[in-house]
Amino acid sequence: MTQAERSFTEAELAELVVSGQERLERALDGGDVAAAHEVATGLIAAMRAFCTVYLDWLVLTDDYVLDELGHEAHVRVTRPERIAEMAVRTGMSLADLVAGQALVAGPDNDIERNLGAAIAAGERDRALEQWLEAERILRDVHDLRRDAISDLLGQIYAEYGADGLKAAQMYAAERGWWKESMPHDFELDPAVRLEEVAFMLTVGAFSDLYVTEHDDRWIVHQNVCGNCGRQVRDRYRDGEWGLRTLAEPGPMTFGKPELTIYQTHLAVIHHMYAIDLVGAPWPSFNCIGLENEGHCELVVYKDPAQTSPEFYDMVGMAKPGS
Amino acid sequence: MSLVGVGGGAGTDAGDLDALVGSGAERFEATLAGGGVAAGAEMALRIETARRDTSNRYRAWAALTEAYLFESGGHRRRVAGARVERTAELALRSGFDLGSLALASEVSAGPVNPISEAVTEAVRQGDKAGLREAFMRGDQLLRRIHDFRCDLLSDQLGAIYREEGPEGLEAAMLFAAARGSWKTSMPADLALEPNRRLRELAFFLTVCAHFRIKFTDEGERWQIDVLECGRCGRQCRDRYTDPDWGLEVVRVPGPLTFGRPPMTIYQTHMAVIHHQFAIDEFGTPWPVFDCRGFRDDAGGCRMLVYKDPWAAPEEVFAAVGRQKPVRRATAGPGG
Repeated sequence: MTQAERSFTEAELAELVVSGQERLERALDGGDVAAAHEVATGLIAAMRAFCTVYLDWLVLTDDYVLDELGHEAHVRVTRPERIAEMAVRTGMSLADLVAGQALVAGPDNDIERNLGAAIAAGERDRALEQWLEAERILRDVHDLRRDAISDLLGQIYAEYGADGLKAAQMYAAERGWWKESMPHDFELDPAVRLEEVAFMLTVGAFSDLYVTEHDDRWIVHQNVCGNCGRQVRDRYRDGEWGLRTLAEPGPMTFGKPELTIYQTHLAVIHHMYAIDLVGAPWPSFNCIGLENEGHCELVVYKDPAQTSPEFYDMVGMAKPGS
Repeated sequence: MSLVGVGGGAGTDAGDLDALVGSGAERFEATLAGGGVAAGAEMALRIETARRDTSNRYRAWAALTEAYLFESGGHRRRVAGARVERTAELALRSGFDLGSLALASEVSAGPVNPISEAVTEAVRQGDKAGLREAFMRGDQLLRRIHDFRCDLLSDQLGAIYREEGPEGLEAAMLFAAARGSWKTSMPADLALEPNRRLRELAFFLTVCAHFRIKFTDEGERWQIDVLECGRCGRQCRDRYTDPDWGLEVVRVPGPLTFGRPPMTIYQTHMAVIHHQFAIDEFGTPWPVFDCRGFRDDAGGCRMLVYKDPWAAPEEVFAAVGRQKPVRRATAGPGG
């Protein structure tokens, strides 16, 4: 492919995956107060949005237990001390937990007010300090909610097996964010679709990425995956966390020997459910399972209809017409 | 509350009323002194089981309140009320640390846990000091679990109250009552012979709910003076005096407050579940509460146990907006 046929230059691809901190630093250095404020607000909103999606998913999974498995099962999975234990393991203090509730509820909170005031006053260092505080706390909220989902799905798996785990994820997918977002994403111009995925992963999910462009697709290489990868690195290496894996090779593990419970959602929701809903995986994942310390890939096909059949095969499905 | 069986071995005689009011630790120590390590261990495990069951009833109540939100407002309502970080905040305010949280999950899950294993090991070794240490560890942990879950429930119901007012709060509690343990435990309690009912209640209050109480036999009833209420009272003293806890108070007088505001959210359940629900379902309150409402100390309220449960006076019914049912010829639950 020649440079002229590319959607993005190398420099433009690099721009897609700039971290939240760097985006804010550039805005602060630009000297335009209104623009810097808009960037800061947008970055925090993106982090908050990811946390909100996670909360929705957590409650949908709890709804599944309540709705499909009944009160007694719901009582068994109600484990408030476990939630608190994971918050402490995440490193959250009492003050962090209080600040986190305000930050995740909306923009009316002390940290964002202080950030806005610092930007308005042209106090770069104070603005950056407030931003870093917001980022730290929202990353902890993100991680806690991800772990809470993983733990709840793990309990369902322990009690109801792989079928129960899949059913819980399908229940959430059919009622949650994915049902709206996946068709919406496929209607976007391909370059915009890539931009949105890159922004969501780098800012909303705290990933460290780079993107390469090919004739028919972009490959998003995850140096540090902000979701599964950090969870594997920071939680699964320590036996004390007690998060479960699925060690039954099959469609839910992409045929691999073992995946974390969280990773199985890539197969179930982003592949199986997406294939049923929009005809192709979205995105297509090359998950490397428990060895994943940030080197997996996800593939964004410019035309989703051109998605390789292998991404269907790995979850036991056939590409329509193939 | 479910009393049947918790007092264990109770005869028809209430006996020495002062002997009924020992705390869990006092009962354990008395048994250890009188019967040795094996008897002490048996008491320790009995206390642990009763306390675990009590805390798990709180958990079931919280789950029923979530079911209420789901039935009344679906998923959106549950998301709006979801409190992952608030749950952890309340745990840390309760004094939990990482080790005690992890242990709490194990102890809540069932009788095979590090504390019961330590008790068993102490018996095997004939180790009185080891048994005492294991008991005290469980004593502290199970009280913390109890208090944390009480706070969580209060917080959950407080959020409903903020959104829906007294009607919503009442509806959520009646939803849980109609589906929870009260539905079966109350008629079973009311059917007990009076002395046994008192003994079971005493064990429940002093051991499972961490009360300090004093009994007075007044002829037709026993009066229970609460020296330190293990639930609302300690919650008032230890949580409500610090605004950082952010627990809700009902300030509008009405049936939910026995007409006596202000009352904490948790206190309103006595009016709604132990009075309104019990009257509607079984014909009489159980037990009869004389709640002092929101205050900054942990004692001073009363409970009344009528030897004939249907002898509670009209005013008790009127305080929660109910009329005393005309008593049928045959006394009994619902009579």
